[in-house]
Amino acid sequence: MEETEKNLLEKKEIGGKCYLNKNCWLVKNLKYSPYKRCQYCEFKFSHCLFLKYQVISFILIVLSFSVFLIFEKRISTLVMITIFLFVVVYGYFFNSSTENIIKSNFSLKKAKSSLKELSDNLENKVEEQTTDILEKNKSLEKQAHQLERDKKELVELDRMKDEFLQMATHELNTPITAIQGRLDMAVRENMCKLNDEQKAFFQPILDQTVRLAHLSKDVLNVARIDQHRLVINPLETDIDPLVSQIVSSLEIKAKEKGNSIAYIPMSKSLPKLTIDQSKIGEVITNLINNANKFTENGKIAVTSKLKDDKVIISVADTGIGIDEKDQKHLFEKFYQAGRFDPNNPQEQQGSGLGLYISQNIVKLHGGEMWLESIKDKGSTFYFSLPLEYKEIKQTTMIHSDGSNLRVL
Amino acid sequence: MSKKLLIVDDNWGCSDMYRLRFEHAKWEVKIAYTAEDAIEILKNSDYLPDAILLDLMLPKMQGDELLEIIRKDPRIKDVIVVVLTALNLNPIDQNRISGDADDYIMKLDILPEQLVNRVNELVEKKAK
Repeated sequence: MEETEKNLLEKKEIGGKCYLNKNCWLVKNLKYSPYKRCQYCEFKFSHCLFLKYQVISFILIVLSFSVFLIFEKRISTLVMITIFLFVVVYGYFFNSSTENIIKSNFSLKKAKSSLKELSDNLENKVEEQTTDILEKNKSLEKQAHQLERDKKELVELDRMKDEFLQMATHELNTPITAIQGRLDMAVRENMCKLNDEQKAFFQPILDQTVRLAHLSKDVLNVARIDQHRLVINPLETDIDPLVSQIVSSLEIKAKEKGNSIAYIPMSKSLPKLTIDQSKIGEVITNLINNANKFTENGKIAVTSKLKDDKVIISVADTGIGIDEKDQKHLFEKFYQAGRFDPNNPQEQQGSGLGLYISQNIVKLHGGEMWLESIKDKGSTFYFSLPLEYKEIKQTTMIHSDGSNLRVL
Repeated sequence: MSKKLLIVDDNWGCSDMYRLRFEHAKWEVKIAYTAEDAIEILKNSDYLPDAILLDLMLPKMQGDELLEIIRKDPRIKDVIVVVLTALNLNPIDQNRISGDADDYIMKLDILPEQLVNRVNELVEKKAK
């Protein structure tokens, strides 16, 4: 008995589908009774079609007896034999077909119920997910609103920052102008008739003020570059006179360090370029000043030449050159190549902004800037300007033009 | 006869520095700290400056408004006006002003001596 129970459990465990399922221990052993119910899988045998067969057989037998009572013996016998045969044949087929029908009916029922279960599950899940999605949608909407608000705030902050920067630079520039102007009059123009000692005292103040003035200008330029708001005003310009004018204006400064400076146009005649004269002038001045800063008793050569569809301008020096590891960082803002000369501390390092600004000005013109340098031999800086000027669209997240800049 | 200059700049440090430099170059200098002051000075029919140094950012009326008024007044419309700014103008404003002003210069870009030379050049060019 214990064994059979265990057996049963096992059957149940493997999901022993009962009834007519040959795996069902009960069906196998008890030769099922149509009126009972399988106590292990709860299948109602009474529901099975087999019962219908019993009822039909019973009716037919009653019918045949009544025929026997009513009709003659021969006819009755014939009818009875017919009925008997019918019952046997019907029973045989019914049995097997019933078995099949019951089987399929049962599995159909099971399938139906599991389908129902599944569909219920599915419905629940869909409902759950719909609420979920709706909730998520709501929170996304909220986030979008928040983002919109944040963006507005950012734009406002950006505007305020820009305004502040402009105001601050303006307020700084005004006193710097006054100091620089007065010092220049006193020291360089010698309007105050200073003696040498006094001059030597004031000269560094003037130098530092000039540096401060440059720094103040550079900081605003860098801020404008970073906000994609540096704007250029390109006009048709003859590049040759522009370069030679700058070169000659810097001659005195170069001579102070024993450097010779020359402008060598390599192409016979250069076509007119559409450039922002003052900005490109700043670039050339910056490159020459750099060359002069790191060269002593040497040569500075500025050249211009036509190559393909652009004009290339170069500034070469015979100075101390630039380490290879510094070269690739040279155009980064605030990058100072380790070129500080401790023997000549007055020769100040720059702000580290000049090349960054210069490169960006050149880029705004659609050109490029690059360098070649050999340590202790010298450096050459090149930049190209395309013959045909195309406006460079500056991508910016917030503003795209400089129209909101105030007149100061 | 010395040339006459009107400086319109609310910043005492700058206007006084320019006054000093121009007086050194034998100019006769007047200073107006506001556009309204400048209008008052220019109303005097006896006074006609050779040049005006104009700062754009002024306390009440702005420099560009004053420039417009000057250019509309038949008596003084031909006066050399050099706009001085403490900041780089963006090209839009630059174009707007360059039509009216004879020159515009960023203060930090020019030393006082160069400014005197520049104004002198402009005045002499006009006299020719």
